[in-house]
Order: sequence, then C-alpha cells, then structure tokens
Amino acid sequence: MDRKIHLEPGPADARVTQHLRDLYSAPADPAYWDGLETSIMSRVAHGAEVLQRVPASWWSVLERWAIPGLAAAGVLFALAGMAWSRENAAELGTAYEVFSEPADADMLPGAVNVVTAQRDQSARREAIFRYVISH
Amino acid sequence: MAAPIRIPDEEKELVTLAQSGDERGFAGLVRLHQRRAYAVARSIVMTHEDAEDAVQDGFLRAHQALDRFDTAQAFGAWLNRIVANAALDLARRRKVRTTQELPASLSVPFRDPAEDAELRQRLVAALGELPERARAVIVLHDVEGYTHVEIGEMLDIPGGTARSDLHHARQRLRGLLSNLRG
Repeated sequence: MDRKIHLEPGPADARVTQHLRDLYSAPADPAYWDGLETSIMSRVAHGAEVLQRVPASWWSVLERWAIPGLAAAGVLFALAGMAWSRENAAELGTAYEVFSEPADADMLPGAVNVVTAQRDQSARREAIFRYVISH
Repeated sequence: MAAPIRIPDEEKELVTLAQSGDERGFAGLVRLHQRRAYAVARSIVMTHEDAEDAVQDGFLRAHQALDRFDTAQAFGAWLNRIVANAALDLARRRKVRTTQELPASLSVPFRDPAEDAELRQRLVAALGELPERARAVIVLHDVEGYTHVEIGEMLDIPGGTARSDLHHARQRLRGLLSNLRG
C-alpha cells in the first residue's frame, strides 16, 4: 500500500515532522549557547584584528604609502631643482669665463688687448621677439 | 501604510553601545539574537556545523557593517538577512562538493518504513535535493513555527513569496518521498 506523506500543517506526517525537528531543531542546552556566544565574540575580535592588519584591497597598501610617497617625491623634486639650478649656474659661469678670459693668443708678447664696447642687447632681443610674433 | 517597526529599548541601547565601539553592546546583541540566527542558518545549510559557521560568519559581517546599520530598522531582521546570505554562500560552496554524492544516497531503495534511520536518511537526501530557499521555508515554518511574514523578513523576500515557496517546496518534497511504502 502506498503511504502518502503529508506535509500540510493539518494532517502532517508525524514521523516526518519529528525527523525534521530532530534534524533541524536548535540545541536546547544553555551551555551550548554560552559557548557559541564566546566563539562568535572571539571570531569578531579576531576579525577586527585581521581587518586592522590586512588591507581590504591590494591598492590600500599604496594608499597607506601615499602621504610618505608624496613627501619623498616633493623632497626629491626640490633637491633635483636645486641641483639643476646649481649646474646651470656653474655652466653659465664656465661659459662666461670662457668668453671673458683672454685667449692665449692675446697673451703673446706684443699683442694688443682690444677692449670692445658692450653692445646693447635689448635692441636685438626686441628684434627677435618681433620676428617670433610676426611668424 | 506600513506600521512603524517597534524596536525594544534594550536592543536600541545595545545597538548604540555596539556602534560606539563597546564590545559589551555587541555581545548583548549576540546573546539576544543567536538562537534565531542559528535557526535561519540551519534551515539553509545541511549540517549543524555549517550552521554554526554561517552564524559566526554572519555575526562577523554584521559587526563589520555595524556603522552602516540604520537604527530605525530592527536589528534582528537585518542580522538574519546577513546570516541567511552567509548560509547561502556556504550551502552553494558545499553543493559544488557534494553534488555527486546526493543521487547515490537517493538511489538506495527504501525497504522498511518502520526503520527510522532509513526514513531519516531519505529525508536528508530529499532535503538536500531541494533548493536552499525551499528547504529554508519548510524548516522555518514546519520546524521553527515562524509565520510567512517572519520568514519573508528573514530571507528578504515578500511574505507572499514565502507562502508560495512553502507550497512548492512541500510539493517537491512530497514528490521526492512519494515512493515510501508502509
């Protein structure tokens, strides 16, 4: 004979319902719940520690280093600027010395040290500027 | 218009305390809600151990999202949805592993309905065949005695959907157990 299993609330199959309860009912022992509470709180505390230690995403490592990185980049930029400025000044100095020091030929006995008058550069600069803006 | 949710004062205080970073507040919330959270998780996963894992995972997720919790909501309903999601994640991971095992246990012929162990085995296998949500509504309704509305809140579905899910889940379970002879 076929036995129909009813799971309707009214004529529920008592054995099936009983088995369902056996399988799924929450433990009744209060000690179990105390233990579960302890486990949950320990996991929460551990989770909070892990969250503090482990970044949520790989780029948050970069985020942590962003401020020191920017500061270091700023310092490097300033140092590079200073070095460039010094080098530039040194080059200008050297160029000036090359042009301003008398050549060896000028030091030959009997050579005449010709002193030329300084040209006014502003007229030349103005001419270049006009050329640039008119083309 | 939906009636405003009545939140017990004790729960409000515990939530406020927990949100301020006081672990005693969160411990109080755990004490208050762990049984129901367990029932939700157990209705979805297949074993007691997995239910414990899902409950712990759910509480951990809730703790991490506590600053985003809207205190106008009921904490229990919010928590149960998180626990249900944790349980569903776990059940899906387990399902991938156990898919091959379930048909084997179902194919064992049922010989003597008087043997509770065998009925139990068949029932476990049949429940394993049900989708997680179908299993959850059956267990929450028939074992835990929750109403459709409460089940809907726990699983984040409308009460009407919980009712229709229950109807279909029972039909499916009945079909899976229909060859029992007595």
